[in-house]
Amino acid sequence: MNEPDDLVWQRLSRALFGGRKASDEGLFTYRVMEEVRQLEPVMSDMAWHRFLRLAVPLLGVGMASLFLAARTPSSHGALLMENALFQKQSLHDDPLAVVLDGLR
Amino acid sequence: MTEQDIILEILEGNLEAYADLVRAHQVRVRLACLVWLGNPEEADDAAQDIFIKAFKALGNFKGDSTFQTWILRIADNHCRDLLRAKTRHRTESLDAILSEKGNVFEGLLARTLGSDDLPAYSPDELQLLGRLFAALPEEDCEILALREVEELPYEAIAERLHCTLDAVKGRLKRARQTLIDKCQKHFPDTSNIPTRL
Repeated sequence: MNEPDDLVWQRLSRALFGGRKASDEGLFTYRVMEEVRQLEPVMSDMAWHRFLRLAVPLLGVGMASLFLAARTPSSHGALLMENALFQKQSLHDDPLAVVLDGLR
Repeated sequence: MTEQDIILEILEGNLEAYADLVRAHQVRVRLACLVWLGNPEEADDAAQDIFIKAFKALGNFKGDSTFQTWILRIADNHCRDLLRAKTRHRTESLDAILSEKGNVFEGLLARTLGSDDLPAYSPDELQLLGRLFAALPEEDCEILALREVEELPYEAIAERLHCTLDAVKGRLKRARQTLIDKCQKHFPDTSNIPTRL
């Protein structure tokens, strides 16, 4: 297209495709929303899935943290182990065996 | 409130917020359907189905693009499916339509050019636009829908149509020229539309 045609097209396309409003848009919106309202159960389902999508990983992380926390050796155990390894041992008792029994 | 906020509100259960999105985007969606299908009643039914489809899929909207781009892509696919199921019939010529409804078209042009506001289409004008698009070859409508309504860049159109950039430009030029020629032919005293209006 040459330049005058470009100008004509700009103006023509504004009329043909430039519209952002319609005088009956209220009616159209009403029709769509009527149908949307009938989809409320679908919507609740969507909300539930959305909740699950967020909640399941969070629940997983929570459970994993709880599990790991329960498995972490206590400082008391560590102290006992230290004593068992480094304290002087008599011939009759074996402190390491006591600690290991406690951990079982 | 941004569109992303509106979408979150809908997903949290406020269905009525969807009306804001429908109001904001309905004309583009209806226009896209009109260009594809050429019949205002069918186009409005299709546009309604598209809004419902979009509503149901709202949870999948990632926000990578605007809501308009996203819903116009849904419209594109929906209309292509409809056209696959039926043949698009060209029942009238552009000449016949412009002879019969030239005054409506001229009114729309005058109103558009007379102000800075973009036009608000009346049902009569949408009817006329539908008839005009229906009189165009299907491949012209396709390229016009992608470029003028979806406002896609040339590269994206070429990708979508699996053709070269030059082919896109060529097709677009032909489609535009057809409309320009017909309009100027029907308003001979205004061979230069811009200066008259």
